[in-house]
Amino acid sequence: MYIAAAGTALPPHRYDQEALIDAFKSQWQGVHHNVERLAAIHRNALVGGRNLALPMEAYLDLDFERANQAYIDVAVPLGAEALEQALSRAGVSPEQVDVLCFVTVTGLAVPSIDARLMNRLPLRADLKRMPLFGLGCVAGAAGLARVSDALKPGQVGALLSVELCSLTLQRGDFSLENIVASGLFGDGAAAVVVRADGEAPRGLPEIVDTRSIFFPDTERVMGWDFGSGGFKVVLSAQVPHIARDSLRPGVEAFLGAHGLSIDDIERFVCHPGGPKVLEGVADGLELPDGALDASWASLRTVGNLSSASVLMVMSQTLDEPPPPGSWGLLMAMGPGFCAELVLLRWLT
Amino acid sequence: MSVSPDLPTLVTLIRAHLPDPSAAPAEITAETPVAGGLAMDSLSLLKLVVAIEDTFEICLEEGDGEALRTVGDLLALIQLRLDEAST
Repeated sequence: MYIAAAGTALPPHRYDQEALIDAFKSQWQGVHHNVERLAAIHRNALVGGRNLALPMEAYLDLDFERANQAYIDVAVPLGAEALEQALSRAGVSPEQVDVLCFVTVTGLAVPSIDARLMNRLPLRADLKRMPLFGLGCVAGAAGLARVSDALKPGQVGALLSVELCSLTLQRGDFSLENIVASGLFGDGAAAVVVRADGEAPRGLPEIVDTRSIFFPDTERVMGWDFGSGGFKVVLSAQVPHIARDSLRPGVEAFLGAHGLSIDDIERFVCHPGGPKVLEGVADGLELPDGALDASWASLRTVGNLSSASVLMVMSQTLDEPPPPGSWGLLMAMGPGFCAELVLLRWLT
Repeated sequence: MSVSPDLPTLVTLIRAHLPDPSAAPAEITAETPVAGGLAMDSLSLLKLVVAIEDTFEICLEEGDGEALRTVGDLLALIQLRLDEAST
């Protein structure tokens, strides 16, 4: 079973971080005394710019109902674009897909976005759909693991993530958690095609194994609260500490089951949660300099796209594969609090 | 209109931003250490700084935290920034 291709799609409304900061400043003024401190929080996210689902001025008129309708209106075409790109790169037609897993945590849709894609793309009527809501940032890794679990020999699976984080923005919430999140998260979609029809061709990674890790009694570390205004972010300072202190034992146990250690991993495909999270992962796993460069680059370019981010990093990794025989580790963390690991190997 | 900086006001602000009130000392005085003594994580500390700036209508500087040892030092810093703003 192997990853055959990835595809990505970003909404067209691109703003650099300073333009976004200027817009936020007008919201913060009158509520917080020192708006430069809040601007510094946004700059410290080390995000250069973000693509938004809507033009900036459209956010002023959003309530929960309008924001969620915008989520559906944008998620369907953006998801279709990412999925079609991944399928095209894999040389697979939509009719060949047997399993489609759709992950999101930034909008609600029933029928789910994957069902709406059935009416847009020539997907088969007997396609097994797997919409997953609520895994948050971990869902890129978890979804890849679930697709690989679900595929039978000879089948083709696809994972699609669409995250429109900007549509969850609470303009009336001036809490530090909301201000931190509004400086970090962006919008985008990513898809990965998985094939279970033989060995991986040269340059493509085999999915060797997957592992779920749950950290007990961490429910308030990250997540959403829901109110009349929609999604309200739950974010604690514990996230980087868990990355630094709690991830390593699970990673070592997982790799150890395959006779491997962290030093044996040539390529890390890590969800770019934020600067402190990436630093925590690198410190906790004692990674060499540059090991997470692809994740840092993704963060800098588009921000944290929740579950889509690790798949964007995977797409970049497929474009620049390591030498044959290399091991790779795809990993992400998310609400629960939890982590998901996928062991990859580029065959010789 | 800004609030006058006194110890009870500052202690009330600190208590409102403790991530785990049960881990904080029963009594917070001018001698209570800021680092370590209040069991604050980075996000709580940032929230406290913003609350201090909003309450007293001052701007704390990047290096202000380095010389702070106690809650009393923090109160003196707030007064200093207020004095600078009024001159």
